[in-house]
Amino acid sequence: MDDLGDIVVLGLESSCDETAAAVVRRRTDGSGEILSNVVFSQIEEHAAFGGVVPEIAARAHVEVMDGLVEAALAEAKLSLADVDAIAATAGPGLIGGVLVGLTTAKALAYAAKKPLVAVNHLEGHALTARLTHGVDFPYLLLLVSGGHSQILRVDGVGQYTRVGTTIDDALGEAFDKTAKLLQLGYPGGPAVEKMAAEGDSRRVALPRPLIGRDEPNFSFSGLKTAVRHEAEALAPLSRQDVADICASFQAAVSDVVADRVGLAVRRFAETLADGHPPVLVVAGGVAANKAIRSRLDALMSGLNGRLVVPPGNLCTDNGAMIAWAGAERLVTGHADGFDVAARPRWPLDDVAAPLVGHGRLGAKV
Amino acid sequence: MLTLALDTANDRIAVALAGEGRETMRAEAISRGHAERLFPLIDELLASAGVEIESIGRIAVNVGPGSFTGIRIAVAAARGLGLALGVPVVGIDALRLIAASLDEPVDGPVLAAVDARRGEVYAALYGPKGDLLESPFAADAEAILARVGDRAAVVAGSGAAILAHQAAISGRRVPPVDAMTATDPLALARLGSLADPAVAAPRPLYLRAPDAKPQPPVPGLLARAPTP
Repeated sequence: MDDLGDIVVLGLESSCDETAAAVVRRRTDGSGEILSNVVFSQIEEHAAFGGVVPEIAARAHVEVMDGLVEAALAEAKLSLADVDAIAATAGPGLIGGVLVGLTTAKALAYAAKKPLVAVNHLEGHALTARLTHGVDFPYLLLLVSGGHSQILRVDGVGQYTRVGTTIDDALGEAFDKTAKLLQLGYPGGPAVEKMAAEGDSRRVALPRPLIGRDEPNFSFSGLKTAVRHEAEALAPLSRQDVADICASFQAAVSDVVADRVGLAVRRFAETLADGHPPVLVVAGGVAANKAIRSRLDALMSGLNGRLVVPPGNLCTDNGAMIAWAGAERLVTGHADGFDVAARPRWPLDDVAAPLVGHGRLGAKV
Repeated sequence: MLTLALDTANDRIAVALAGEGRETMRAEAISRGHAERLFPLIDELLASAGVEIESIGRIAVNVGPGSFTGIRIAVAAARGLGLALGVPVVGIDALRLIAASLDEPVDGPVLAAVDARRGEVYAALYGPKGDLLESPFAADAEAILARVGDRAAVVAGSGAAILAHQAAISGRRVPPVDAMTATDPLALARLGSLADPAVAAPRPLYLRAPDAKPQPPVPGLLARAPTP
């Protein structure tokens, strides 16, 4: 259904600690262009707590969401009437925040009489590389952030197969908790990486959970505990001790990611036609980590494949990826009603058996 | 001017339309799913009144206190509609709305009270003409009675029974309780049509801080705090 012509979509994101709005154009040939992309980060409001506090996040979202929409439209030099559809994250994420963005989007769509697209936040991450790099299907996606660590095979819009996932903590969460323990501040990823640059990665022996296992899953909970035990054993910690622990931690997770993703990419490559190089797309905040990225780079070179990492501001949470996913959904003929519900849990692959999350809310990943 | 009023602050969803000689409303008891039901209900209201959304000149919203998530749904909806339509959005607090929703008119001040759970009540005192005598605050029932109980000619809202009960067991004067079971969505629309947009900002009124405490670091772990 590519007869819509060029379409312009406004995207709203509010599922964690960034409030964001963006305007994206999708051309008939499938290429995309970001017309505006504004993000309000709440990092300072959560820093004292060493992590995101859902109620604080939701309160911040509702104060700034409408202003960000105005700013995104102004930056794109468009009015709401010029937009073809409104997209918003409908999950997964912190439900109080998701409701703010989704409800704002419903109001805009209702009043402006535009189609509404309720976007899966993970699908936003999954499709970003098509906006930034024009990547064709199929590709393998490594999504590593504070809330998610999973490997997905992407065969088309709405066609996702979970290849691997974490069985406990997310990778970004492991960075955050290490930083919190070592009092490096929040968010932990950049802080740990910076300290690791001064440290000796062989100083502290840490486990490499699940390395060599037959399924490309992750586990970071035991590693987090091991970091705490090693830190307590070395206490009181000098600055060099902290740097060495950070370097050792980063080396351990890099080994884990390279091994687990390597397995997934090799299996993925086997399913492709001869001479068709595998493409690995990385998304999520952890994609910014240079140590992990260089390992993935080496991995993909060794496999004659291609590594695609969207720019940093499109790897972390943003509105452009939601607008883009909305546009990609729209051209498949998909739009949602005003009764669409926010979903705290919403796996991209609804068929895969849940490894984490049971009960009332359903599968988490 | 037509004012559209939205209220999802509690176990109910209410929408109302007032102005230009019309007054019409819809309300449904609902414990969850406010965000799914709100726009279909607005649509039903406007369709039954034969009003296009573009004809709305102002949005009024109940900003709480009440359910934190509930408040935010109506506030986000109101602000989104205001932005899209280019019309003012005014916030009316839930306690003023209670005072404006009494079943019977009263001569003296109205103590509006909302059950805040966890042993507390949200309260505010209004004069008979709606003038604010005590700004909204959260406290336990005894503290509220000590501060404003003697002045109240009537107490109303979901916290009224709690205050009356506390007054009885602590030997205080028990103020008459208004039997109101729900606020009046049309009163919200009327209050909204009269409010000054420069003053009545559509910002949630929580009256309670988020439930979060900074976590202390592990004592003795660091020789001194590193500065990366």
